[in-house]
Amino acid sequence: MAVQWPIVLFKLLAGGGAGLLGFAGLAALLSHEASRPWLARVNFAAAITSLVLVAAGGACVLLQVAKPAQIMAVVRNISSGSPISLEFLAFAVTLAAGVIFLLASRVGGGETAGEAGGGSAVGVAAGETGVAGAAAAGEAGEVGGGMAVKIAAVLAIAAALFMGFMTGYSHMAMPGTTAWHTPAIPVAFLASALLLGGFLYLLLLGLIRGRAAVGGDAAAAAAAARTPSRDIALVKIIAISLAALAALTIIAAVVYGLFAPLGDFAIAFWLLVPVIGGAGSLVAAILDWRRPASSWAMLGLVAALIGACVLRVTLWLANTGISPLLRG
Amino acid sequence: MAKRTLVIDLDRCSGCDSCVVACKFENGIGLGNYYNHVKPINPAGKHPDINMYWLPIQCQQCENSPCVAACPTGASYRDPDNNVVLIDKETCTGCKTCLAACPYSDPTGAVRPSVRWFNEELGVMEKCTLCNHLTATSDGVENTEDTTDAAHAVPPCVHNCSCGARSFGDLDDPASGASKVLAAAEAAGRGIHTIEAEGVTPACKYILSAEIADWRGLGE
Repeated sequence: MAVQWPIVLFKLLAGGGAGLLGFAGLAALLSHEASRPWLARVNFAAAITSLVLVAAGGACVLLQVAKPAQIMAVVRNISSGSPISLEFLAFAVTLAAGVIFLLASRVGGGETAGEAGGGSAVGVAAGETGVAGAAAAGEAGEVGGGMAVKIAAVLAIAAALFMGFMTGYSHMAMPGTTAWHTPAIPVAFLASALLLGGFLYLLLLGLIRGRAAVGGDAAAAAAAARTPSRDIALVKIIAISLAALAALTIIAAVVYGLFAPLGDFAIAFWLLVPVIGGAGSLVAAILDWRRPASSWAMLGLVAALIGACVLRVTLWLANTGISPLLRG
Repeated sequence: MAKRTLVIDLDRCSGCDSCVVACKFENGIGLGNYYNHVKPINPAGKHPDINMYWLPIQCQQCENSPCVAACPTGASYRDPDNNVVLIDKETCTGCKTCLAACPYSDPTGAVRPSVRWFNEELGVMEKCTLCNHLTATSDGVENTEDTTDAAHAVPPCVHNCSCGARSFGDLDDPASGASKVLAAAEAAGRGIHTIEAEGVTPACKYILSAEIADWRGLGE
């Protein structure tokens, strides 16, 4: 059975990108005022990366359709409620949520305000480099943009859940392919997409906070230096969330594996999806929870990527349920 | 709502493929592609009680048409005048979603022949239309004196069936060709079957008498 690679790539990129956006939203909701300058940088980078990944996934779909110029027909038919229409809606919602989160992070996250404070005459006159300016402008940002960030964060989380679920639901809802008729598919797709996004977020967080701590932006470095315990708490919360998602991935993958006629692909599925993708991610998340380090996040990302990719490929490599009577 | 479809008498079908040839000729379908095909349903039972039959398969004109429900562009649709499931080639993007939605097709289109095929040249999905371009207003009772009579036209696969196994018409119209054949088979106590599949209600009917062969549903 030929694998539909453009579809697989769409589900991986758009799902993972949405997961990254969701975790950026979660971090924005959980963040403390003192960590705003550097966290805004992380969330800005996460939103940009997420948008690139989701858009790249959408571009892959153009490789699947034979007449890309006709793709707007999907928009005109969006009210049909077909599974693909809903998936397209999720794609559009995720892009919109990403842009909103990006803008809100810039306006209300404090980082922009900190930059403005540090660079302006007012900021310099007010205090030492940009730190005081960041604090002052951060407070102003909290009043003016803090709520916007929170709302954008909730939207980002909702979009991530919607996108991740729909990438699997569009398979489950296809009546003609009986091997896809299980809710384990959308659950597994959702959990594995969030896993990808979560580990990617941890990597970005470690990379950007690390740079801030060793002396990049003065305001961000000062804020990062002041908030190690809160940073660690945030990482731990994300790591615990990832451990829970890894457990959910294992359960959903096992349910799907028992439901679908895996045939010759069974060994590869069981080894690569629940064991490597699920248990591997679970171990990495627990290690990151116990002792946060980018290396654990990288390990988790690789494991989650392997599991997510093989899970999606399995839909075509396993027996799809077509009757032998209809085979050529 | 009209329920236009084919009724195929498997007691009569010899597996000659005349319907396949007529279909390809009428619709200009090239080598390797098909709107319909005929499957030999392998011999079943033990010697000397062995039976087999031929099963012509094409779009089953499902009453709930999952291909229409799944199509993201609205290219798969029902003719508003006669309810036949069709594909608008202008609107079709060639995304192949209908392949996964149809229980009679392989989701990737790799299995050939199939009840629908992807036209690489045009970038669109194709399937049996019941030759709606000929039969849109027909009652399904062929005028043998004038086969071009649109009011009584039948698809070429019906007209050219060398064994007279195929009939066409609206099952909601008792006077249609298909309804008459079905009523006669029912009166004679012959088996009337559909190719059952999960989630669909196929309109296409197959007649197979128990003394000819045992009906094997999809997947048995």
